Amino acid sequence: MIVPITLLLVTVTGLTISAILAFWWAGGDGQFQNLEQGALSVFDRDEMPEPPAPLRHE
Amino acid sequence: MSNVALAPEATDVDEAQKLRSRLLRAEIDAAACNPVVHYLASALFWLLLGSVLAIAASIKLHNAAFLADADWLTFGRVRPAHLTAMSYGWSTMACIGVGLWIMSRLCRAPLRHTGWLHLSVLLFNLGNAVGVWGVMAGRSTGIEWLEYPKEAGVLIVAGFIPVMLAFVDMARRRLPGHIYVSQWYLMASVFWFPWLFLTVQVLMIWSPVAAPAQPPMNWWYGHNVLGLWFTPVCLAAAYYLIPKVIGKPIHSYYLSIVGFWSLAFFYAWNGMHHLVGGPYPAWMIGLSIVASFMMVIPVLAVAVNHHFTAFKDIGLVRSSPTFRFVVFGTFSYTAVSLQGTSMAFRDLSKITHFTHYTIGHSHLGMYAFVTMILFGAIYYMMPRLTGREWPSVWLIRAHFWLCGVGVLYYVMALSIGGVKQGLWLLDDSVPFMEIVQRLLPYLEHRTFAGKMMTLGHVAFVISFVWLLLRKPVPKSEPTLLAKNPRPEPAAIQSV
Repeated sequence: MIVPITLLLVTVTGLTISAILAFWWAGGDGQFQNLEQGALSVFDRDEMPEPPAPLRHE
Repeated sequence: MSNVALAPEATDVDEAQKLRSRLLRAEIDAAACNPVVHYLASALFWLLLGSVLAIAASIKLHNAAFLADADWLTFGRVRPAHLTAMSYGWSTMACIGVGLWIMSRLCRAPLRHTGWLHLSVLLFNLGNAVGVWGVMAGRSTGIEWLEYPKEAGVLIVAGFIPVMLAFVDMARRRLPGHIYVSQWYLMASVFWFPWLFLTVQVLMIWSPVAAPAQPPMNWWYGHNVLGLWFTPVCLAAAYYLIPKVIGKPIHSYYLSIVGFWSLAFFYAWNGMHHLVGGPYPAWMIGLSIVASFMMVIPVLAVAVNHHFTAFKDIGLVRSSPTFRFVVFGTFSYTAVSLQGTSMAFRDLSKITHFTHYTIGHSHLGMYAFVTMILFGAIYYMMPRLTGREWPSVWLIRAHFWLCGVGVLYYVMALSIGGVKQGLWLLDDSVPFMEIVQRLLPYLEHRTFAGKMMTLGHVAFVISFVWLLLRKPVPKSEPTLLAKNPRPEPAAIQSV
């Protein structure tokens, strides 16, 4: 019982550790900065939505 | 002055970049067309076969004499054959097809070495054929979600290797800049699935661990294959398709990142809640219940994002087939996830465990969420991949209403019947055989709903085959369910 439970926990922990490593890399790569740009990265250049109309007082 | 002088040149550069984008998109679609259509066509074959097996299994639940003469058509074989054909045939192959195309589009990197992907399709088809045949011949492993005999598992693992390599290759060649949230989900899922599948194949099929350790292993896989394979691919598709169809970015990119990372951190610990009440250490079950509750974070993050984005232009559900299916799928995701969290709690689990309520829950997830989003994605992809438009609005409408109403009817019937079943099972004064009798009407409703969904699948397959047989017309109008209420955004056009 000990061996399989350990294996299971090692695998689950492995998943979590790999998530932490990926998170670390993403932070270093600047993926969590300028998030507005991230939202627009789904669009190609010719598909970019029009910027919202300025508010009346602007 | 200098601004005025630069303006024409800037416009020219902008126009050139837009033209380059269009050409790159055309190149990506041309490269993806054959392997992706190969995946999708195969997936549809397994969808039809799985539907027929589902109806046979469902009828047997209220009419035991149905097809009772042949041993290979007994309930114990037909039902796992249905589950596995739908999981590894339909859902997995459709997820791969949809995932490959979206990843290719988002990385702006055309697929390469597509011969390996065709080989992958063949291996998957062979694996599913060997698996379904083995289950129906009585060689099921008896482990839920892993009923295929061991040789089928080997073929599926082999078939997944080219898929992983294709994703890594696309990610490596992606254009610099932000990784869109769909890419995060897709890249993670193509590593999570083989990890999960290979682990249980080794520890439960090839070199089985001690019997008491098998249920935790089984439900670790059974739950995670939903949350770390089918769910990320379909969330990725929804995150891609909703902005594309409405032509507006997602409500909050920040929330989408929170949703992805919280899923990655919490989901793997969920599976043990299937063993609430079982003979396992309390901390194992307790930890799993806590993790299930923590899932509220990614679910709400995704729900807020999907629904708020969709409601920016919700009127498009009247005209866009893709949007209609995807919005249905995203609402189902919110519902099934919150329902799943509630079912992890001991008090509710005491009633719903071992009842038809669980089957209703799984269909709300695997069908109303996963399958409906895959349908929506296929409606979006096929015109772009093939240059052909969907031939019949009537067939699309039939597909949506039969499947949408069918699955809701199915879930309602089994949820009501399941709760009653659970309460009766807890009541010592109700004999077991009387519970069986009382449940028959709910099971008949289940069969009726299943037939509706199967008819919807037939309509979809006719549409799909008809589209493939049409002549390509690259600049044709998109097939919409109603007149579009406003001018088309660039994203909705076929090119």
